[in-house]
Amino acid sequence: MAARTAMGSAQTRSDVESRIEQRKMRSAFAIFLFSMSVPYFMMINVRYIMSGGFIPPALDQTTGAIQTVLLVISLLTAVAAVRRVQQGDGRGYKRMTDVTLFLGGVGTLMQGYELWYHPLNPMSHYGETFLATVGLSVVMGLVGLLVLAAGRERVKRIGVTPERQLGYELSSWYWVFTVITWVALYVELYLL
Amino acid sequence: MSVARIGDAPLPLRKKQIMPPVIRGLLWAGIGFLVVNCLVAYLLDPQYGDPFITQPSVVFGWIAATAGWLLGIGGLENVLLPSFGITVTYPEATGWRRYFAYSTNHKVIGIQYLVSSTGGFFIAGLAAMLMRIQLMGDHMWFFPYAGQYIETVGIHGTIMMFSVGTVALVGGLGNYLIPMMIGSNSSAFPRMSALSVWLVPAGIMTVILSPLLGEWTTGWRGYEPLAQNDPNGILFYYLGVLALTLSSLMVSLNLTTTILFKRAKGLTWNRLPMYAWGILAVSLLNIIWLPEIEITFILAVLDRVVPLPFFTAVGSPITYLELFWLFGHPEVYIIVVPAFAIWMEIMPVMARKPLFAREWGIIGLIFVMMLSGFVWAHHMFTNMRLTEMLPFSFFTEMISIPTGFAYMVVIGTLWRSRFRMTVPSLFVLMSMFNFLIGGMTGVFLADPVINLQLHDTFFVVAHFHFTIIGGMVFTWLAAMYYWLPKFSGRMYNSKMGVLGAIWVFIGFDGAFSLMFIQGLRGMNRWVPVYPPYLQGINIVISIFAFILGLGFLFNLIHIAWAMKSGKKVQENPWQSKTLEWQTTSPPAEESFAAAPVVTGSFYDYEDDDESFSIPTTPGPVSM
Repeated sequence: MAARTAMGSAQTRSDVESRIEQRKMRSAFAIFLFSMSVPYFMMINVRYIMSGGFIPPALDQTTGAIQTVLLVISLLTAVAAVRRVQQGDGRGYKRMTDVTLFLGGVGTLMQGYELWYHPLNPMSHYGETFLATVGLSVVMGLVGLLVLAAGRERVKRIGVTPERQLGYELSSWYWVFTVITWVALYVELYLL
Repeated sequence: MSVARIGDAPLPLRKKQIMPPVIRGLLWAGIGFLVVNCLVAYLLDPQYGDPFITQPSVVFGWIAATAGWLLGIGGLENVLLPSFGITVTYPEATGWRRYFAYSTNHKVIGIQYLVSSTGGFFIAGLAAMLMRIQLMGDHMWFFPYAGQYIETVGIHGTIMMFSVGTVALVGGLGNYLIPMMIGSNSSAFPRMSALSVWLVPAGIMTVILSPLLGEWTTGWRGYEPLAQNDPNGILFYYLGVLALTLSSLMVSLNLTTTILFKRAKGLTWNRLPMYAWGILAVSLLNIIWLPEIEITFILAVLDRVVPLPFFTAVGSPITYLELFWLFGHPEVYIIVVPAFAIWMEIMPVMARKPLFAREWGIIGLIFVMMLSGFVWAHHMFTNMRLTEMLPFSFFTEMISIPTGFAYMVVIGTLWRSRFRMTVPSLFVLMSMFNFLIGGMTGVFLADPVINLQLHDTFFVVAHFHFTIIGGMVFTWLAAMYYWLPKFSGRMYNSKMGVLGAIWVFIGFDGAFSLMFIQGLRGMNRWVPVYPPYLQGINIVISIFAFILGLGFLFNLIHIAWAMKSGKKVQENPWQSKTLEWQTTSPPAEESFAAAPVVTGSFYDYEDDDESFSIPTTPGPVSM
């Protein structure tokens, strides 16, 4: 955001407050994401405590790969939505968020499918960690979709204003966070 | 930047509150529970015999009830609908009613937290009195069954730790004081705090109602797989603590951001008040460790709902212990770090002398925070090899060094000072004395040989009560007396205050110092009936415990009376230099009419210069 005003180099109080507010929100969001990453670190750690590096042959690699690809594409559309909203393009943000919601929704549904029709014995070291870890990702994903849906409805009703722009951005960045954590979990659960 | 409107905002829907928010919250919570519980129990996951309550149904019912409670209290109009772009006019409560409603005023939120915490303190205290009544007899005479006694111990510990220890000095005093101490009129995220405060009564009620689902005998730690021996009360332990810790997590996110970004101009890091440093340190601990314990509890709930036997059957029982104590020991410092900071806040004011070695006080708070993550396994020495014990033993002993910095700062400040022995300073000195005993016995227990002998005895009970009650609760009382004129514009009665301090000191030290002797004589924890040779000392301890309980009640009544009817005092009766005292007492809706500018140290009492200035007209500022 432009820091200089028509008065020249001097910044008005509202400019400074606006910049501080933006910095406050971004930093708080970073702290929030740091806090939210703790459960993922914990589940990765617990997996190696419980079952070491074992990966069962029955694991459905295809479904895991497809949902990961869908979620990664949804990450790209979420980033595109951020770019749109930074340009003040509410319609573009809504369009990109619609695509993100669709791809993210399908990816999350596929994760739910794996939870429901899993080929693993939940009474096994790998099985219980797999289900709990994927379950964590599904819950975080549902929260992310809810946040995206809220942003979509908000932009539809009240549009993009400079004060509200950051809220839309952060909705999309939260989805990016859920996808990145899923990719880390995918590598850990399916490949390593 | 252009404004793009792609739709019409709906018109405001409501102009008048239909019913009091608390009543509406309770109603929606009840409806939410009934609907979702029945849906799960009868349609989605029916079980043999069609029971009304099943393990999955009660968990999902609780989630719906908590959501209903938060939405009913005001979350619907102030958080949920606005996040979807729907604007609703919500009539703001005024007068006393705002303490029973959704409010974004940080001072109202602070009082709400303090009242909830005080309620939790006396409920848990009542449970403690019931335990002491039972321990006066030589057979099961007060509780019919041993499990009921142990469940009472668990409820006592859970509510004390999660709704008092981690809440009163952070959510309560932190929300009230921190924005004012840093020269701000609000916290960073007032809407989040407005909602998080209502998770505390929800969490306390959940734990209190846990016996409805059956007894649980794990104590405040919720140990798995021990909990598998019990009926379902443990579910409400996990869920209740989940609500309480979520509240603390939201407080920490809010206060961290507030301290980082809402400081007044000129309030640089080397001028930041000690209490703000303490809250910052404890908030970082909360941000790291609370999500960890929340996931642990969710895993334990999943074991009953799915089941996923993480800690039982094919799972690993020791993993629960490890995951619990990874959080469990930082929890102790989450409780006492704000207390250390309050010592360093009150004492220079009472000593009329600059805070001694302020930098070392801050370094102490930060190193306590950092080392607290390296000591957790000393709770599990009975499950470990000697080589594994030694690093944890080492760090446990080392953490006493930064802890000692707080003592050094306070004693150095008092040295050759013009010390005023007031009720707050008396409570701080008592707190320092008690925590010294708790801390030194902690160093003693850190030694593996001693630890293995005294593990799970009343020696440990005495040790941690000296740290928690001695360190935190006495400091809480000191803080309440110190900031009472700020809260109310009135002063306590000095004689009554001194009487209250001596009363709880005698009750506390009498009761818990004898527990050290009990522990050394082999009295284990978690037992409702002991051999005759321990009964005499148990009776004496119970009498001291009743004295202590009445002493706390006396202080509560005195503080409540003083806030309402105490003698009116000037706005800054202690002549403190910190910013919260530069507002009116009690503070107005907006604490500062104009943003203050900090120009010096808050702890320099050698001169009478002001440490701040308040500009009369706001103008351009530079960054």
